[in-house]
Amino acid sequence: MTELHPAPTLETAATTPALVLRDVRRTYGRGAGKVTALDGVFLEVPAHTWTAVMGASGSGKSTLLHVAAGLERADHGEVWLAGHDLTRANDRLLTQLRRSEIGFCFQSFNLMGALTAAQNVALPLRLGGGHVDKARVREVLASVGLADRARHRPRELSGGQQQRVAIARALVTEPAVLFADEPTGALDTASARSVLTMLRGLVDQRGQTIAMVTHDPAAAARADTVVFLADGRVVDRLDRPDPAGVAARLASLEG
Amino acid sequence: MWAISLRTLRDRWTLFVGALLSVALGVALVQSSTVLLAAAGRTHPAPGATPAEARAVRDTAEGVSSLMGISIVLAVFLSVFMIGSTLAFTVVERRRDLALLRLNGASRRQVRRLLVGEALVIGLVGTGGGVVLGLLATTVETRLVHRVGLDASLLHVGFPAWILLVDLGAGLGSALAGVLVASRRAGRVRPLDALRETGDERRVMTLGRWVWGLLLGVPAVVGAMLAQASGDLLVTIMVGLLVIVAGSIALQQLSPLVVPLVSRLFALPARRHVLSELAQAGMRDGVRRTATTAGPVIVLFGLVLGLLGIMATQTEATRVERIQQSSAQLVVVSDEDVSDRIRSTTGVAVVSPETEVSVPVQVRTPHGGWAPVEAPAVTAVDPAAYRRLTHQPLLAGGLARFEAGRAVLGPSAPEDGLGRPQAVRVGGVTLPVVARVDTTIAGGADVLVDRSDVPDSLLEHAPTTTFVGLERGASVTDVRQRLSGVGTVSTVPVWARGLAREQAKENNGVMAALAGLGGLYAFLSLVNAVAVGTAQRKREFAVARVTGASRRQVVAAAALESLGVGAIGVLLGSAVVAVCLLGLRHGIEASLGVPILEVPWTLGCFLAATALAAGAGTAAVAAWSATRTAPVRLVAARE
Repeated sequence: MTELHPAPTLETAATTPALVLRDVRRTYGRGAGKVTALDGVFLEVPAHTWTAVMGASGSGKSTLLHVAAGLERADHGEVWLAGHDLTRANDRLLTQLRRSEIGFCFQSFNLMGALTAAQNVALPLRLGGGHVDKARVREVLASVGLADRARHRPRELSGGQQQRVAIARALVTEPAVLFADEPTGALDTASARSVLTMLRGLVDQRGQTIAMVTHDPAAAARADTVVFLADGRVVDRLDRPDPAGVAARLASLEG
Repeated sequence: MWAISLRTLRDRWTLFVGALLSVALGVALVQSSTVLLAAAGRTHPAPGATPAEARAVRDTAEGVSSLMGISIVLAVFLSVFMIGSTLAFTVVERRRDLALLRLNGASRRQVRRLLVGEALVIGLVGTGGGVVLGLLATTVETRLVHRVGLDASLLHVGFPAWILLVDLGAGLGSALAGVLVASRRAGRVRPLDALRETGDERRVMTLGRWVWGLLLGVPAVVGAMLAQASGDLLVTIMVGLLVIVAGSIALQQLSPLVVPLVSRLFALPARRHVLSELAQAGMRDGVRRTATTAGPVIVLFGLVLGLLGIMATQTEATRVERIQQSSAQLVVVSDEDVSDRIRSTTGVAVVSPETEVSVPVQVRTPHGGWAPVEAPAVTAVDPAAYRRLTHQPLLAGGLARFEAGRAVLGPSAPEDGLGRPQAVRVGGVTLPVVARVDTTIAGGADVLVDRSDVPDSLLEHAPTTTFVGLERGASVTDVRQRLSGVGTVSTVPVWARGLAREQAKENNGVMAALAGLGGLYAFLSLVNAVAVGTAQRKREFAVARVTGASRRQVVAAAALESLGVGAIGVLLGSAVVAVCLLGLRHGIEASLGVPILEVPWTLGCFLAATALAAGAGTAAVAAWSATRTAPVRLVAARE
């Protein structure tokens, strides 16, 4: 199941996909210690949709996200995002893209401990050069429900709140794609649920495109599409997923 | 980026304390040295001063100028060096933070600017502290000038306003120079490093380290070999200094290579105790940390021990040389000319008085004119007796023709720039030069003249050293007894030892100051490296504790590791000292025919013990502090 799929099943007309991976390969190490993380991945993430990537550990899903987001360079293949081929982009272009078209959030939040929530959110804008629209920062913080925590430092926030700040930071530049690596992995059930609901809202109301890696079937089920990875390749796909269906497909992979 | 710079400094100030102290110290020393240097430049002998007084003032001014000059250069150099290594180290420890910035869209240039911004703040704050510290430093340096034998009260010490500009320049300059390497390293951090847990220990031996290590190391070894071949002792000493400085720094740069190799030597005798295994593993795994910690110890040892060893060896060499060059049996030191009284004593065969006189000297230039010599050292002797009792190698001419109306250029003439004149004018009297004495380790006069060529008034009540040769069969003890009332009588060896000791005191003051300076910096750098390196291993310690190690065991292993690293530093530092001193020994052997090697063993042991104790102590304290939180919290949570 490695063919390209056409534009998704949303009401909007078929638009250019926000993210395209074509025959992406990535290996680590040399000789006997050689590990093939990605072995010819073909993937399209349509704009304004939420795609979840699942697979057993070692299936290459984190590497996939890193390569798709330009954090790692593929050995072979193409990665198209916002009209640019990331595999051929130099460091300056990648930096620019990180300020405008690419947003990340991770399992371990990765906020700068020395800065307040508002400052963390404003960081990409500051780095992009100069003037920070304070109203925009407030708005984004409000959209993740943390308007009243703007002046707090990360160590004064709960895990769920930190993750929201991280997501706000990722969104403040209105990126073409929001990449989320196990966003709910370090959260308790309640926090996880509210974060996922928030993400769902972003897609439905603001048309944000999300590419998420997760091992949690419940989290994956909130997405529009779930893509399954095994041995570095996309092996299965589930549109309009439900938790049970996702769990079943996952189990069949590992079985 | 400024706001981020400031916040980072405030948040993680412990990382930067070392750099801050280095700047403050550097500025303090530059300030006090400049103040004294300016004072020396302004000091001139009072218009009505006697030649002796004028000479004293000029000696003081010259001595202070050169001492302060060296001090400034050394302070700036060491300051930049230590700041550079401290800041470069902090970049490694902050890799995750810097990677986060890159992840959020920071360009490489912005990250570099962040580091430069931090360095500027450190430079400013450090300068402030340095100005205050500098006032204290001036007092210390003035006392040092005293110890060296110069009269500091002759200087007019002030505090001109432009000194503050100098301070600012030194402080900011050294901070910025020091951050160059660190900022480039920061710029190379990749965004993905924020997600990876394992430290990037792969390429610790950067191109820069290779270049500096070989650029300094090869000349150091070559220099040591050259020192062996050269017969000129002064050259040997200069080369010795260069060998030590270059060698220590070269080893410091190459330490990521050398330290693991040497640590393997330690692995063999160590018993298979779990703590020592942990310590060794830590040493071998944390290559960069180990190298950064061993480096200062190498420099500390090399500089301090090496410089002092050179001095001690040279002093001993002057003692031996003096004994070699004299065939007298006794020496009489008196306040006036006592040659007649000595001559009339039974058992005395030859009396060779030497009196230093203060007369103006001019040398004949090639064009036929006369050029004055500044602060000349003229010694009036009895040529016939001198020939019989003093034996120094000559560069040219012969002492047979040395008599009244003739002059001989003494051993200090070449280095005092007298050249090879055909004649000299001493006190207005023109004297053709009949011989030139070769340079000696001990130094001596610029010009030797017959006593009759000098006005009697200058000789009668001037301090005189008289060498005495005895008749064959005369008893040394008896003659000594008979001469006891005439002045201070001693055998040549005893006299030589006394002189050597005096000279040692003078030289040791200078060298001790310079060595102490370098040592202080190295010490600071060591403590800083150990403290920062240990503090950043929180997670590693937590993992060890979760696996079953007790808090005490973890602290002990950290202290043991630091001990091991310190020992490696001591070993390598000793190697540098050995290379240099052996070269010096060979050079002296070529010169004097006798190999001389004086190693300050007690100081060496004291230094080694201090360095090891400081390192282990710091590691223990830092490890204890790092294991404050319950291990589970550090191991489970990722933030």
